[in-house]
Amino acid sequence: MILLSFFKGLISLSGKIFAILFLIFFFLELVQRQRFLTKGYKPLARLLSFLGFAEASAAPVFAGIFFGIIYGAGVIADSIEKEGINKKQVLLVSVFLAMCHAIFEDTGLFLALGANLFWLTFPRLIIACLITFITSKIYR
Amino acid sequence: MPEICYPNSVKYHLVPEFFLSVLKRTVFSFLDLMKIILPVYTIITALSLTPIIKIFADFLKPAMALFGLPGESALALILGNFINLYAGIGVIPLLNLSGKQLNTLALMLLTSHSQIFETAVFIKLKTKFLFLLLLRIVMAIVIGYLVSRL
Repeated sequence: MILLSFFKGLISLSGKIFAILFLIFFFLELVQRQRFLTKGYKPLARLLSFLGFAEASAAPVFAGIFFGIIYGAGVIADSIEKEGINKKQVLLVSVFLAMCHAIFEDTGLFLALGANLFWLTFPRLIIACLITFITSKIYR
Repeated sequence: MPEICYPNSVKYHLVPEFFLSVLKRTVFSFLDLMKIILPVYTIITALSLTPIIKIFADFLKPAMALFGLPGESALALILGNFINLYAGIGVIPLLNLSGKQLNTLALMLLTSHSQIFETAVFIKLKTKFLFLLLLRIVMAIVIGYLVSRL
């Protein structure tokens, strides 16, 4: 009895996770190849500057939001070297990404478990923006 | 060979290669996740046959009541924070949560997870990692409390 429910649960969980991962990578691959990201980039960058981000910080923020903290960190490390973004910007990017990163993958996995899309995305994004804004005002 | 004009520069001959690449990434990522999720799911199922989980759950019941969650769900938070998000996800199907409880737990885990690994990333960036660590834990608690009360 317990064994049956164990396998049932396992199959349904892994099936859902596989399906969600396929969708996520389908979308990511499409974005990466067609460079959709670069088109909507300018207005979004303007929004980010309101939160206290410098122009050079936009790339690591977007990389982190969509692809995860590791990609974000990789791009920040690259930006520090090439564009010389300062300590405050590194902190702001880190604060934003600490609160909200990998919105496709992490959100997708919880969607597979049956959580609500609205609750998984909007509160995180809004709180990340809010805390970044506050940090940018406080930190000198 | 005559040049074919593709609408919106979509290169249709790349479609099979595109799907192969998506499938490859999916399979690798799936296996990576399952390496964590499967053992956690199995061990927690086995432990649920013993009194250990019940004792643990009763102990943490008052703390988790703050978020309207059952005591057992502390397991998801602990594994999710100390190991990684996927370990937390491995526990969730075993908890029998309501829709609202699931949203609360999901949002708490999304705010604060994989702390050992992600703190290491922030240390590497030479930024205020202790501040970030505390910020995430505190925010997870605040968010969990607020969402459960809405």
